[in-house]
Amino acid sequence: MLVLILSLLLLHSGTVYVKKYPYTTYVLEHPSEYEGKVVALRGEISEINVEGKTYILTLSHYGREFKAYAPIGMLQNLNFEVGDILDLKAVSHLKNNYVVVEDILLWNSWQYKWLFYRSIIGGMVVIGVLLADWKKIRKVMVFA
Amino acid sequence: MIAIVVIELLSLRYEQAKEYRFFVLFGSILPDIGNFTILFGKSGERIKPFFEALHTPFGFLILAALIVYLTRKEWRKVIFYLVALGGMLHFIADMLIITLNGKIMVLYPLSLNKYSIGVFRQGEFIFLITAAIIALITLLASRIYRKYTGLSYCQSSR
Repeated sequence: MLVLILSLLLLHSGTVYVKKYPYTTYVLEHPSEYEGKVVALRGEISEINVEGKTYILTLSHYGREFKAYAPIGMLQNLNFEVGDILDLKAVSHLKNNYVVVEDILLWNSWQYKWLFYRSIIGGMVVIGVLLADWKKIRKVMVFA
Repeated sequence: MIAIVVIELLSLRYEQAKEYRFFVLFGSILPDIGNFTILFGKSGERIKPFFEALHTPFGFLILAALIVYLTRKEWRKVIFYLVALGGMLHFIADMLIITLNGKIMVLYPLSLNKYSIGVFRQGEFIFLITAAIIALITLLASRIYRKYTGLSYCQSSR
């Protein structure tokens, strides 16, 4: 059991200290490391502008604001609005506070709320099953 | 939902599968245990990486092995398989999501590369509806099968 606990702790330290893959927050805080590279970013739309064939979205993520440039064709069917949250695949130029969008991975506020509620629903289903099957489950537990 | 369908199908072959469905369902949500960090906003975003290891097959199996210590010795092997089954279903479902950098670090701790098959976008209701229809058809088909073969849900327990 001790070996298992130690292994788990070692695994945790591995994911925490080796930041090979970019988290949104990490990319925003260390923009120079990802300059010119494709990154995944999350931001909330605070302003929408159209210039020629390009959408210019002002996005904010935990207080940091940046512009996202995207071709109209990529966004025209998405029906997005101020307040929506976007997950972007974008080329980072965050040193100059902008990104060039390559793809939209996820958008809309309700989709994000759904991700949160889904976890709660999942947890409640499992608790419901636990209560319903408690008599059977108790038989296999050490504290029965 | 996938776990529920799999339990239903397993119960056609192994009568007791349904009795211990909790462990499969528990295993299927266990890798996402780090999601509770959503409640803590920005601080949550910072502590989430601490749970990243549990969202890998290897890390999950170690956690599952630890959890089965809560069960009686003679049951540990079976419960471990059930929890592991739930977890693996979770990883398979997660790998269907379209992402930029991949979704699951399948080979962690040997590699930090994430992999994804990329079938649907996360949050798409069309996928949820499709999964719900498949689940309903499976449950209905299972009930019809039971009715015509005389197979009943096992009520006994070991």
